[in-house]
Amino acid sequence: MAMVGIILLIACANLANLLLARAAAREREIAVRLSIGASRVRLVRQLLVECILLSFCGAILGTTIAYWLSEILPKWASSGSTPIPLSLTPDARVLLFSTAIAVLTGLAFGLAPALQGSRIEPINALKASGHQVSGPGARWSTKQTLVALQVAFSLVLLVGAGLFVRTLRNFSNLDGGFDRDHLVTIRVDTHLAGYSPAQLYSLSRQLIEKVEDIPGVRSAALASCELASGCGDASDIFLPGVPHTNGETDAQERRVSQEFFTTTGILLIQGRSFADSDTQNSPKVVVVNQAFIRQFLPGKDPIGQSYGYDANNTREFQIVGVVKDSRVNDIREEVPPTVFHSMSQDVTDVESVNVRTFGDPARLVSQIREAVRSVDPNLPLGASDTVAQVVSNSLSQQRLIARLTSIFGALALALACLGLYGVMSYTVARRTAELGIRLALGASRGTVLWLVLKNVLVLIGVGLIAGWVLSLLSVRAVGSLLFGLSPYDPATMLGAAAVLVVVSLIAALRPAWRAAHVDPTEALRLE
Amino acid sequence: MIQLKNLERSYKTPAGQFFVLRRVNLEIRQGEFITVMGPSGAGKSSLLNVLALLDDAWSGEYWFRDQAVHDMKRKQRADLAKKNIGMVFQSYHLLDDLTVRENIDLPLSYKDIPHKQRQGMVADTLDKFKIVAKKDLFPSQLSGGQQQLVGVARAVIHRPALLLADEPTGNLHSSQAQEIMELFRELNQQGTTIVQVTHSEVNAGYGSRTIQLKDGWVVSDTANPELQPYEAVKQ
Repeated sequence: MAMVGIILLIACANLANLLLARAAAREREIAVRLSIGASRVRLVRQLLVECILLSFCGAILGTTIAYWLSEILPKWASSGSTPIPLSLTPDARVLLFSTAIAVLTGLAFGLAPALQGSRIEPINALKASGHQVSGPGARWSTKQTLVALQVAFSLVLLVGAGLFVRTLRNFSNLDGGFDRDHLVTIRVDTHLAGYSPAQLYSLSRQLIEKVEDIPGVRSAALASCELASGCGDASDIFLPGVPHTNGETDAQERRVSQEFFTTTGILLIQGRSFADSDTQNSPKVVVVNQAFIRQFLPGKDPIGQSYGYDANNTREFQIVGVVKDSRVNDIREEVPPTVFHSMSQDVTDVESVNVRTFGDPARLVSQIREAVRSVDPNLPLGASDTVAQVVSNSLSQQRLIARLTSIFGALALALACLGLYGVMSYTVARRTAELGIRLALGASRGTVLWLVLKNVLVLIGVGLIAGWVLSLLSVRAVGSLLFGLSPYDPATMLGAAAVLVVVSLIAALRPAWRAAHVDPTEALRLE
Repeated sequence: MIQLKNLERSYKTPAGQFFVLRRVNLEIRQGEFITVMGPSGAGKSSLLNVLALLDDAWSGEYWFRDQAVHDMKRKQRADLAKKNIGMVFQSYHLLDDLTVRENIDLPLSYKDIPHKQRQGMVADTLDKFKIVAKKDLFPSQLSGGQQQLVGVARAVIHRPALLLADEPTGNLHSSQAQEIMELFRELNQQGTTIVQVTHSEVNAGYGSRTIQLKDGWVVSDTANPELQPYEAVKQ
């Protein structure tokens, strides 16, 4: 909403600039009308009607573009196998609201130029034939203030876009602690199929055997919760000698089959993984992650330590191994203390079959599904995705935000450049005589080019300073949505400014070039 | 100093080629004070623009101190003009937002002259033209005569060999005009070659030579009584 508001403000600034330029260009026409008896009210009315017409045409054009974009935008903003369920097709209320806003803002921003236009003194305007030669002193005007504001607002959006794009990139490049390449996961639902725990032991064994028989499969493992899907449960745990505070001695639990760590590429860094010797009848063992050690057993050798889920039974499970921290639950979450139970000792349900392949895992998906079905045709199968895709899908919200802010940032930049181009073109046109005189007095074309570009740089500079202040004030609000960078990240701030400067200079190059190529004889004749 | 040989300037119009200067052959010697006269549309300002090297789209030969201007590139011409030519305009063409001092400094600022040296030159010129008291005023705070005085000061501050003046007194009343013309005479006596365009016979009287233009042709030249009659040349 804030982004749309900023875009609307930038567009309004452009409209105001356009109308101010038109009012200035029509000074003589208005002076003639006033001198032959037109009242100021009538002139304001005429200028406002023109303005409303302009806004109305803009609203119609905007509506057409909105319809067109409503199809494209959701597709573009989403990616992967989970499209974003976003309907942007404008309905009657949206259309009415947008048209009303367009016309009202057009009116609001057109009123000032209309009033200014009607306030001119006809005698002065008619006398000003062409002897006035504006120089660089007539530098700071309302038009330039409006352009500087556009630059400032554009910078805010570009900084936002930069922060969110970099957040997405940081998430995408994040080492989740497991190897997402050549890994495919298939969702199954043993709970819905009505499997009892006793039946699950046999099912687990068969599933793994069948899948591992497929040529190209390196290993297979089962888990009670799919990787990176946010389905992990946490339980209160009790450790001997560790004070128990409610809500602060939680550990996430996952039940996995024997080859889970090998299959998913989670590194074992101490002790052992699950073994054939870990059975229902053997002592219950668990593998924990580093976060668990850090939180509950700092400075202690974890191997051989025990814990339980009951204050009276703190030695139910023995820690036999420690694995590297991995974001198995949600790639966006800090790694919580996690306990991995062996499915050979305790299984309540199986939710995912994880398969590591030698080649492209996507090519084996249908064979893996077939293998799972061959074990039990009634076992409900969910979607099959590579883990890389699952991770990517889990970032859909970040991707949507990054893409939307990028779209709005680009739109703001385009509008600001349009405004800058308009103002510079107008300024160059107004300064044609002055530039001609400078050329006639010996200024080189490079000097004139620099003269105009210098003005542009001043405009951009003022806009950038204002934009940085606005950005610093506003980015704090989005700090919680960022990852791996500060809301005040200097690289993003400078990068956004660099993009703005380069694109703005490109936009200003044409008017500046035109200024440098003013024909002095033509310019002097205009005088 | 300057030789023009068969110089022509034309514009393309829907009706065909329209000539504003036709086969102009002219020699301007060092130290001359030439007046160019003729009716409106005769090509006086066009000739001045060509001489000032503001206009590039002419054909023929233009020699400036034995340098073939017609063979020069745009930048070379601009450099030549910057060093040797000063211009005075009918409408003064002072920049409204610059003070008198800044306006006079303008041509020097385009010449890579150190700031301190420029300040000295501007101070000398203000003194010479007796406008020191006006140095911080803006053009709109000056009378027409004073503005043109600043215009002349600006044109001669870099001591050009050639001073071109396009109707320099066209917007001035007679006493102001006389003041400016006296100034021109003084500059000419100090060695500056001057070419002025004027409608005024009185102003023409300050010059040493008068050239008449008509329909782009040089129809008379007091330094060249042998010039073929206009009608004969036109035939």
